Amino acid sequence: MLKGYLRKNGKKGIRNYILVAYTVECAHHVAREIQYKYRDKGVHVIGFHGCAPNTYANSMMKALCTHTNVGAVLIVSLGCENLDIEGLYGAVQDSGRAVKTIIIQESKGSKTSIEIGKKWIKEKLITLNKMPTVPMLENELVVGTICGGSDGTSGITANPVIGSTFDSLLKRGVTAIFEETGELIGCEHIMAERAASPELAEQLIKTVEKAKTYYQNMGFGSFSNGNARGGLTTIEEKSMGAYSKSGNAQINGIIKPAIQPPTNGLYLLDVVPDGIPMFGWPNANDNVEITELIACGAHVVLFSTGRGSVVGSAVSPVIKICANPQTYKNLEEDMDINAGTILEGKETINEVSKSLEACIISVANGSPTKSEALLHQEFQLAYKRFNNLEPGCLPS
Amino acid sequence: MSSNKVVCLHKLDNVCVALSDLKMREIIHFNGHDIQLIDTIYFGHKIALKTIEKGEPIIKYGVPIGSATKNISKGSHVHTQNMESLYMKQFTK
Repeated sequence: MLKGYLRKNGKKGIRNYILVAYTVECAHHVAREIQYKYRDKGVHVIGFHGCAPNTYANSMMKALCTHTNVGAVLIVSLGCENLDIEGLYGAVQDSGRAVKTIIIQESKGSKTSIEIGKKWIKEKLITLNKMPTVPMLENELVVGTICGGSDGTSGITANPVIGSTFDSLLKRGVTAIFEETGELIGCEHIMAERAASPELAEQLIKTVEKAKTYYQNMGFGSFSNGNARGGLTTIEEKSMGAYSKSGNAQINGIIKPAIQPPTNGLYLLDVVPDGIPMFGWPNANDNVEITELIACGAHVVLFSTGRGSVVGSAVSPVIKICANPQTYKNLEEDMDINAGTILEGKETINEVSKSLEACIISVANGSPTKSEALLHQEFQLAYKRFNNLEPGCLPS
Repeated sequence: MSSNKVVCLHKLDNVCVALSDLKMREIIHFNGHDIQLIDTIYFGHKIALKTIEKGEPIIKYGVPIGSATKNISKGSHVHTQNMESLYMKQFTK
């Protein structure tokens, strides 16, 4: 049994964070100044830098500001940007969370806005700290996974460890999300065999084909001589390295950013935009994808790294699983799990997977991850465009 | 399922992966069996855990990642010289 914070819709969070959400880059500094004093008290800054209207950004901000790990939201607006501030305020208010909007242009400027914001945060911290926890079942937990800063060890240690953990967590009723269709090119037909329905199998193949077209248009290579020198022989083998994070369980559906899985089970998150490339790379960096996993409801994100990423995230804890024993030695203070022991022959994939599972439960019960304790609260929200999900993507 | 020298990623796999550079004729221990290496195998490269006939799938991560283009003996290096992609043959234009 876990401990959670009960929200109005019946869902539960494993943290009770306050978000300071800026709605355009012009309000970023004021938001950061409001938060800075409280950055080690569970107050995080998130926001959207853009001013041009973007439906995806509106959906993402609403999903993040009403995430189960969030207890209250302070919206910081300049006053003339295009993000749907009223809609965001309404969504947070309807979710039963405390919310306030500061419009800088109507609040006498930066200094006064910062003072008003700090006062509000101070009050809300007192209220939120008094909020009791309730029992939370394991099947109420949502776990996402991503890999970044990968090397030759990622696909043989940390990623299979995450796959094995996913298999075990899914048996315990947890909802699990994997992503990055651009790294699944070559194994879509293998993946489709795990689909819960023939319609979903077709959509899984279509989703990876979309990624393939998008990456080709962006001029992204697929299989290099370096891959072959490293021992990889085929494109499906290379993709399997990343895909192995998803384990072996049945795939129940496909979601897109800011869409939460409608049932328990395993879901693929399609992060590649629809239509012709408009805004740049599908994944400008790992934090864009981490943010999207969280917007789909992930309470916690499992991050596999070989070269050694140090990032965390706003809103949800990130558990870093280090694939390479040398990297672990260099970056121990940033790594939660050492899967490099598999390479050294000291532990098996199953043994490391058991440690990871125990770590997830402990983090869900409130223990801080390394990145949380170090106040890593990275956040990035990019411009993107998505169409609605095709029929067959979600369980009927 | 790892010994000091190799890791096998799935129980269905017919190949394992070298965890360091391994010399020809070196013995690896796998699931209680000894396998003598027929080739030099570099870190990250694949080793046949059993005899694989021409046309048979190469299984890693529990799934086919290609097929054998010739008969492969136990303990051999499995790479571009004796296997090919199923994906590129079937699905690329």
